[in-house]
Amino acid sequence: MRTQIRTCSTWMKLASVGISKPTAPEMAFSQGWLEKFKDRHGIKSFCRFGESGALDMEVVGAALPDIRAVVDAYTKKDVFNMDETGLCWHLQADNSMATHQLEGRNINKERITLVICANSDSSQKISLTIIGKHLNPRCFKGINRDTLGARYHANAKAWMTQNVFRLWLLDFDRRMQGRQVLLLLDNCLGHIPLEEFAEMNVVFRNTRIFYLPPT
Amino acid sequence: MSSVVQPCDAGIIRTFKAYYRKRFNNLLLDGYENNIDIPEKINILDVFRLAVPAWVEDVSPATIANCFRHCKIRTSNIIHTQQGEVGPPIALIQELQHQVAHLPYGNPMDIRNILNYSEENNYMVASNDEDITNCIIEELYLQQDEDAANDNDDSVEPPKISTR
Repeated sequence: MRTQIRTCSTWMKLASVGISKPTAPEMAFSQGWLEKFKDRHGIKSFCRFGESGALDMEVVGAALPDIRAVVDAYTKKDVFNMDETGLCWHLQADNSMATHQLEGRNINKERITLVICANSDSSQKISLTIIGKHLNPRCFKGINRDTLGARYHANAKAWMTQNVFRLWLLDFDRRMQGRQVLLLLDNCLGHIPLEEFAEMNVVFRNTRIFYLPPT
Repeated sequence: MSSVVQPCDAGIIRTFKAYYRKRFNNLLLDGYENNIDIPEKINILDVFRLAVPAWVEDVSPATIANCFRHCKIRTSNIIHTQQGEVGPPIALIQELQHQVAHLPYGNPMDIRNILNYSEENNYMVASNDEDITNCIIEELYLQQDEDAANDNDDSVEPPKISTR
């Protein structure tokens, strides 16, 4: 019942931005539709906990031999690690600004997501990807985005979504043309299980993706 | 687990952020010196101009290689002896502290709090269906607003919403 009400209000909101309700009535209010909608938009529920703090070092030690067996098979220049991080871009080192407001926004908390990637002999830094909240920021007007030195994506929460992740990987794989590289990834976040790439007909010719074991 | 065996987590990201902060602080200091009103009011284009060189020019290959070695994910690195944390060079931390001391702050924060800012680390929160739905709707609204604000800009494809 609750789901029905929620999905119903979703339709009312969607209708107000010009999206019409599906014609098949049995689809209209189902939870299944919402799940598929989320899939299509590459949005999933996920969570991530803070930094290394409460880690079981024994678990880490047990997993390392498997990781090394994979990494050792590649030369140093062919082992990459990619990860994303939040960046509160206005953040200032002043406690008295903790609630500092600029034009009604708490700017200390304005956050974007950055994607960072490099290889283990540090001969290659992959150019940054920045995920913001606005598809067409006013400040980009008249700017050729190819000259920015970083790729830009946007969604409402400035999150790494599965869609951005997939685009990043495809671009990375293209850059690795003619090589066979290993890409180490955190197993969390908007990252896509390997078997799902096959379902999406996404093939990486030059990249082996290796998800680091979960915490 | 990942943050221990992941070179990015081990220090590459923190080093990058330290250089970003340094460039941001320089922008603030220049702004105050030139009597610019609210120098901290930067836009996303400014973020590109700070973040891109912070990554491309500032983060040293030695730092990156060191972070990879530190994670001991390669057999030849097992005997790597460096203890403790890898991250921003000490000289950089000192420079950040020096900058903060010259900014007109009422209650300056320890620079380490900035480099380990919890809002940035815990950036993914579990979402329920409602959050996700609102996120999608918000995205559509944003797109509409911006399309309206950028009449001549046809670089954005309309949202593809399939109702199948």
